[in-house]
Amino acid sequence: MRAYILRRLLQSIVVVFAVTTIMFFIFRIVPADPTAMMVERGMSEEARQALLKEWGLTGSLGTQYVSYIKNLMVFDFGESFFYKKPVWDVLLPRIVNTLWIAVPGLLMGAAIGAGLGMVVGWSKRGSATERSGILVATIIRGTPSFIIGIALLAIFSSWLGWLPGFGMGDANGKTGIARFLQGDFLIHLILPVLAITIYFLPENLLLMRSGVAENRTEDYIELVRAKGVSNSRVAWHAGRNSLLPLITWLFPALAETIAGIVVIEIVFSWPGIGRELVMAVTRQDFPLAQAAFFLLAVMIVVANFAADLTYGKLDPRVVYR
Amino acid sequence: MTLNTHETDFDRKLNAKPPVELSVRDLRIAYATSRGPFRAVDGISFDVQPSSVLGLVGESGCGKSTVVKSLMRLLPDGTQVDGEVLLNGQNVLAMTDGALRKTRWNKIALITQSAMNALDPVICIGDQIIESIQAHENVSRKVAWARAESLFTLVGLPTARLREYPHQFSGGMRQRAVIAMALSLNAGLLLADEPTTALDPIMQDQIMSRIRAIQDRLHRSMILVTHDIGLVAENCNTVAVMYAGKIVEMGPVEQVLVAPEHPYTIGLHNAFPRMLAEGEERPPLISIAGGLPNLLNPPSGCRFHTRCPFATDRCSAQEPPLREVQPRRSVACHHAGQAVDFRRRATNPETWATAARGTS
Repeated sequence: MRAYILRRLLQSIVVVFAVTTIMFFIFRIVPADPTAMMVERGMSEEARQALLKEWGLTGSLGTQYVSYIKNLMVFDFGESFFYKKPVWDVLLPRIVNTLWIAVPGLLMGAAIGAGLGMVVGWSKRGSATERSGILVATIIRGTPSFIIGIALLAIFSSWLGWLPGFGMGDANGKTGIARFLQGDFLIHLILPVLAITIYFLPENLLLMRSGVAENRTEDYIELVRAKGVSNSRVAWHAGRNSLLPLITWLFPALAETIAGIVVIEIVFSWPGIGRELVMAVTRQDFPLAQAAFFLLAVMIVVANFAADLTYGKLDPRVVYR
Repeated sequence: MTLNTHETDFDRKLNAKPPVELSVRDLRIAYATSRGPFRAVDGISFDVQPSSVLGLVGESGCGKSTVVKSLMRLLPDGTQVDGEVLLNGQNVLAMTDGALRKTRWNKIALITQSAMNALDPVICIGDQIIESIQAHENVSRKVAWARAESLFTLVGLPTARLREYPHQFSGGMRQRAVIAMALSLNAGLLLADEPTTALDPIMQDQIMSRIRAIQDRLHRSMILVTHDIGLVAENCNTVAVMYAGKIVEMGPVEQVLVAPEHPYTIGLHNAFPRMLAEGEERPPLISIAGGLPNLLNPPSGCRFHTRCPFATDRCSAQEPPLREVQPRRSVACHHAGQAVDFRRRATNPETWATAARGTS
């Protein structure tokens, strides 16, 4: 087990290293000039050259790469071109903001999705519950996340006027955790979290449903029924076994869901890391974009790792070698 | 075989449960298929006396497993089941869901075949056993676990392995675990559905002697479903022979197996090797040519007439009822009176070859 974890850790480092390298070259190959924005504002050529030098964009690609890797070793991504602040100072609060909507949204999507999938999978074959469950889940799954977001905005914010749909509310001068523990912030949280939940839910539902539908015809289910336990307990057995494929899918999917969350952040003007990433790319803010992509790569690798370990916990047949 | 276990009060309480009497009356089972009802079981009746063992034999597909599942109402939704399954006089088929739940495992327990998939792969075996106990008895986990330990000792498994998962067990061990689970509440009726089919002959013998030893001690009523005549001879008091969803012959084992009267039983008898008396010449093994008829469209008259070497015009025109030919002995054949002659002719392979040519 320990050897397995160590080996996976080394593999993960290699993967992250490869991703950062590819990222570095992609940004350099793109025929774009990060100083363009400044030049438009009437910057002289001399000042531009000075800026390029300050940003470390003057030397050959090789030397740039070496210094990039050196800094990467100590997680130093430099200073944002746009904000003129260290990259981490910009990103860390954004990450916290994103976690506030992503964690509850994804957890609720997974839990409610799996629960409903269980109900739909256990319902009679061809029943109204089964057919409508599959139909609705498939429709929502096919809906882009921005449509879900805009629909929520239109209904609850514009039409009913119940909930705010823009930003995080007023900080009221508070910082740290106190900034988030205000009624105003929590009200602003509802719609984006709901959007992520709805966006993430159908896939969980459909996977759980097919797992339960498959498991309910297995021999062991017949024996559990024969034991005279309650119907819900029989369903629990089928659900417990269906969790295995769901978990293998779930963790990598969490990482891939980032794309959907980026869009939801933009729809609700939520100052999260996804929205920041998109803006950094359009502004040619290399250090910020690189750091954000680095974080995404790490998240995906960690998610896969977590999936493997969870799988071993859920399925006694899994052996780590 | 000795079965000395350390008995708890709970064990003693359960061991005092009486065996039950089963009476099946005119059981008819039709699976729903896209091409109409598939009549897997067509009007069968039989009894299991308390503490006796009934063997249910027949080739694959004759409906014997369907009968067993119907006794616990385990058949898929949409299956049409008619008739009566009387357990100490109570009709299982008419029970409410709640009453059925209380009856399952408490009064009828099931030993399934191929313990390979019969156990939940992700739950440890001990927990699967105590699940069955706690579903019916209001006892603590500790008491239930002690019961599971007694059961493991009873079937010859080390109690430490209760914490293991099905994939850590060999086929024989899994079968023992399934037997232990079936005994968890000491149900009055045990249904053993081909309990040794998936095992090698040595393991088969071990499992069956284990079942016999338990039977000698606990005196359960039991139905043993098998296609192995040898197992029936060793383990059963009475035997019912099924063919294409009907019982064709039924009676005490020593009579039915020594002097079968239905041509199908005679054929089955010829298809299995048996112990020979000293100096006796080994008779050839003869299989019955052909296969089971299609039950979506069963043949007219006697369902066996298409494969029977002794069939007459009457056999294809008129269905023979199951008639009592002696007390406790019934046969469904128009020509049951000619059984002695049939048995003599049936030892000649040529007899069966003629029947095969006739059908093809």
